[in-house]
Amino acid sequence: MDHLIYLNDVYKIYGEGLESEVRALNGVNLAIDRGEFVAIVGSSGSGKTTMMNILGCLDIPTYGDYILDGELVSELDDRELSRIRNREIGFIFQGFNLIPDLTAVENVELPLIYAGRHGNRKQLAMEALKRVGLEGRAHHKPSQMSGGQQQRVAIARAIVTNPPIIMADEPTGNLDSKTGEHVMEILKGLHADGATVILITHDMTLAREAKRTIRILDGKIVHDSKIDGEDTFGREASYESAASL
Amino acid sequence: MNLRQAFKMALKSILGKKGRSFLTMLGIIIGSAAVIVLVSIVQGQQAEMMEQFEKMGTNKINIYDYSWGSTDISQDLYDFCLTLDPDLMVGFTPSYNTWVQVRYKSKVSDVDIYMGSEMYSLCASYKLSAGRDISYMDVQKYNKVCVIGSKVQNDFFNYENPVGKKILINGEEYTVIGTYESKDMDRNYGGDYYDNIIVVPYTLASRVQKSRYRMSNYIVKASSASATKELVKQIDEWMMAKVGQYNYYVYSENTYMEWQNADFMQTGLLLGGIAGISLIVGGIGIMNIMLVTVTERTREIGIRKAIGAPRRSIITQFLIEASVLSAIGGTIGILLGGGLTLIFGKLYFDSIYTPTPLIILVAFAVSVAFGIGFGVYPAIRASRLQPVEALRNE
Repeated sequence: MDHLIYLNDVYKIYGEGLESEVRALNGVNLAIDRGEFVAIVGSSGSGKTTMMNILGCLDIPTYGDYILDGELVSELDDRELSRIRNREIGFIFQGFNLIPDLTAVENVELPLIYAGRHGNRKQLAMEALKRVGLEGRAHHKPSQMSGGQQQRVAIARAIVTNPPIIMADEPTGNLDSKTGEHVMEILKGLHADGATVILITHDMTLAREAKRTIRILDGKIVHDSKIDGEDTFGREASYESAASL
Repeated sequence: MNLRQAFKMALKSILGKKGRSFLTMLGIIIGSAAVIVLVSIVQGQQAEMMEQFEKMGTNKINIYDYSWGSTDISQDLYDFCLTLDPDLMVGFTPSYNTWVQVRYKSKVSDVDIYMGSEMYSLCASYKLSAGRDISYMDVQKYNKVCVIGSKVQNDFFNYENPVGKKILINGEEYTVIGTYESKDMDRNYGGDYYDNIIVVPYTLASRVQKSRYRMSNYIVKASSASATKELVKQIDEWMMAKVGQYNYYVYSENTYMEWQNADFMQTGLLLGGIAGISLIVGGIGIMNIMLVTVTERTREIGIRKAIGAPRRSIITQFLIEASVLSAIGGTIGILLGGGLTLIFGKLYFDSIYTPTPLIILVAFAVSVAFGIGFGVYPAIRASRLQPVEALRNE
């Protein structure tokens, strides 16, 4: 069993035992291998964001095991979790999540600072900005940039440490369609360069760009299909079933 | 992340929110300024008073003989003083004064004439500025000589050199043999009264007075504060035996100084305490703002954790922010306090007071300690947040 990501019967329960108990994840089993481009789709409230939080080590499951690259995440301490979030995973959020007081290049530099890198930090940050085509805006603050530009800064920040996994939660949700396409192109480029990309979205057209689609409903995986023919579900079929829900 | 980075980050965060940073510091600024001003003024006044006492003469024992009758105890007292421990007693002089008219050429003025021995200047803490002092021989030979204070010199002689000139004291001619330096006393402590004097050998008392006069005032100079205490005791015993209770008075300004000092200590403690409370309130202000800051910046903390900031880094960042803020606040407060001390001292006490290095150090250390102390709690709280909880905070 050599999966990059492996979830074994994972539950995330809020307010357990209360009347208002919510099972955001309700017994999820999932395996993702290196180099995959996975789209996790579902309507709002389906548990897809909870899933990404757990996959990204931003949250811990109530029950079940999460094994990331051979390590049992629930047994890691704060320091090791920080290291994983820093080196293994690059996050791209719907709301960009840039630090407003810092300029673009300073925001991109931040993960390198926490990684304890010295010396060529500025240079690496500038290179990452160049990859998203924003080197000209390096010294602007987030408030001086458009949404698309802010999201590209966030992508630059996600990739500056060259993490093997990129996680994007509705990365185009706050962007117009043209800028959204641009962001998707960057994600595809990262996948082509060898990164494992996990894209969370409710938008089927975006999900179509991925090589594998996982559908979540009420905290359970109800559908899992790959387009390269391994899966028993055909590509067209999966979209139909997804659209009908 | 190393400390230098953490410092840079804290500075960036402080400068990024200047308004908030200033409000945070305000409490510490006011607190430390208040401590500096109050303590400095009390200390300044105390030092000023001590200086005046020094000029008046410290370790000086005044002896008054109130006994009725014609016996002059001068000789006996003098003999007794010679039996005192020379390590304790350094000088003895009669000290009787009277206001008489003095004339030099066309100038006339009333001056305080002191009748003393060759040790008068030593006992009353005067320093010669020119000429010579009264000698043992002058006293023994009834020499009609005198040493004049600086005000007398200015009033009568202007730019003339007074040494060797003859002045008329109560109509009799005396030769000026020397001049004393000005005591430069503050007007609150008698001003130039101490410079408007003429000292003549005490053996001439009756001539100056133009009547028979019995010595009754004496000064004994002790070598130190503890010697003063010891001598007061011994002289008191002797006087008691010699002239009897209620017929004499022995006292030293040291006693008065001690009372005054204790008074100042209490005032200083009281005012310092009040100022200290305002410093604590300032510290609580910092803690409040840090708590608000943490709440306000929960999202930022979430972002930082999401991109790999360990708990320690978050704590360090907030701690450094708090201590840098309070250090800057403390520094501004100290400068402000120093300035206000100068202004208040000049306005209300007409003197120049400056904060001592000790109080500056204490005020600074306390400010930074408060910053760190009150910064710890919010910093720890902030670091405990799960990234996802923090990120959910919009």
